[in-house]
Amino acid sequence: MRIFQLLPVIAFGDAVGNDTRALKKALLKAGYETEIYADVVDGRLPRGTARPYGRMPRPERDDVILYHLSTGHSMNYGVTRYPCRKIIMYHNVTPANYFDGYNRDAYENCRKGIRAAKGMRDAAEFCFADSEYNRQELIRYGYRCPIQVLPILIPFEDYAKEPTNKVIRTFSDGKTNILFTGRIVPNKKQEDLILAFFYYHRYINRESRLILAGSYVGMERYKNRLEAYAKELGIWDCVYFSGMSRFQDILAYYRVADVFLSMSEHEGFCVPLVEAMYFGIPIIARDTSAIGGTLGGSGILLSDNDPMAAAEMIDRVITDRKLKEAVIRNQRIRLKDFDNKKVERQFLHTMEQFVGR
Amino acid sequence: MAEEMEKIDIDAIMADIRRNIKERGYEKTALTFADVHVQAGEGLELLEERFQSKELKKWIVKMDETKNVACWRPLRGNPLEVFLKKVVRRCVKFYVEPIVADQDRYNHYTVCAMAQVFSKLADSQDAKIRKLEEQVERLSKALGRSTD
Repeated sequence: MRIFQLLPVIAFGDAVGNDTRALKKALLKAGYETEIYADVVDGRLPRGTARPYGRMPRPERDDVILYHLSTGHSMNYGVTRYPCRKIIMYHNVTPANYFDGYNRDAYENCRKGIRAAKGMRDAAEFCFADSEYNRQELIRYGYRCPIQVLPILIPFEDYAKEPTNKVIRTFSDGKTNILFTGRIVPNKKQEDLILAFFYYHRYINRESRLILAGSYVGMERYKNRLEAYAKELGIWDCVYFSGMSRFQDILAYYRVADVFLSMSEHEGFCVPLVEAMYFGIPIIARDTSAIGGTLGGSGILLSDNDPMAAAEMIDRVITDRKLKEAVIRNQRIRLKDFDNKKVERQFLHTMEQFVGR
Repeated sequence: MAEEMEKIDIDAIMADIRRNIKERGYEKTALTFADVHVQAGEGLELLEERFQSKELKKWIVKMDETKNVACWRPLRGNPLEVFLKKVVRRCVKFYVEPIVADQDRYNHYTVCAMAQVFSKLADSQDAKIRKLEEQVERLSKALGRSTD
């Protein structure tokens, strides 16, 4: 019995890619015969991480496919044709409308991804979902098989690496740093972050900046609009777009951040929230999609995207020491639920039951 | 024993925040993100744009305006440079002029083809609109209402 982990693209530094690699490690440690196959294997990954899908041996009836579903791809349909048992690991597909007018390919990929997710409901014998939000989405799509919530495995050991000193020096100038990490994409509503920061900067604290740490590759039009927005609001010189950054740069941004602010409208899990917890940065986040579930009672949730309320909350968290300490303490408690050993144990226990061993 | 989270009274904080918002005298900015429009791109950026027939017509007009490649251009530089450039130009004239003529012809045919594409799109759109109007007419009659 072999376990094949399949996904269209395994990328370097990507949450889904990291999760897939960590699951492979756990399966190998538990004595399973397993491999990762992807249509596209990022060249920056260590040799032997994954093999091309075209070279995958044909799965037999007693094998298991663990398929990572997060986008549109022909593999979504190809997978259903194998005679073996199938588990879907659902990472969520962003609703296509967010990309309308910004990126045709992304729009089509998401549209097809959602269609495929619905189409695969009868092929899956079992599903893992990163969050309760994702689990509920599968139920809405008509999935009747058991669905278990399994948080993404996050490589915490990587966060102990040395951050980029130049970034730390640049942003340690006494200004209040408000941070959001994540790709520059419309579903993450960076325009709402900019507006909240506008009110904070103009009415509360002129010695402040907003750091948007994330790549905008493929989203240049959206990023240009965000820049134009910041310019029209008169805060262009206080909003910093990092673009695609090295991992050590991201570590540095977390080190200089005073608060982590999210106004995302759609997230399947939101790894940066867990990263902010790890680095002890108080989190303020709009309560949408999987955000509340990932925070699990920690952080501070905003019920809507009111920018003035967000601005005031930033000020409150930064200036009220007792509140800040309580938020960080709660986040540290929540962080324990994402402990890799805990998540691995849960995953392996479920796999054992599934394969009947 | 598992550590318990401290209860933070968000409602009380929000009530306080709402008071602060009144006291600070925030002036709501009239500018929304929806008001922000970035100049439409050119070249490959247009692949992401929604189709607009008036944009297609605009680019066809620009194609027509620039279809004739200029073979003869004013030569710049000091008198010696200009003289040398004139000599070189005369020497290669026999080779360059036929190439430019071919290019001009190709450009002209391309503009004609694009104009036909535009006409086809316009005709298809007109036909669709006529069909929809006829359908509305039929449905209205079936409902016993006049379309006037």
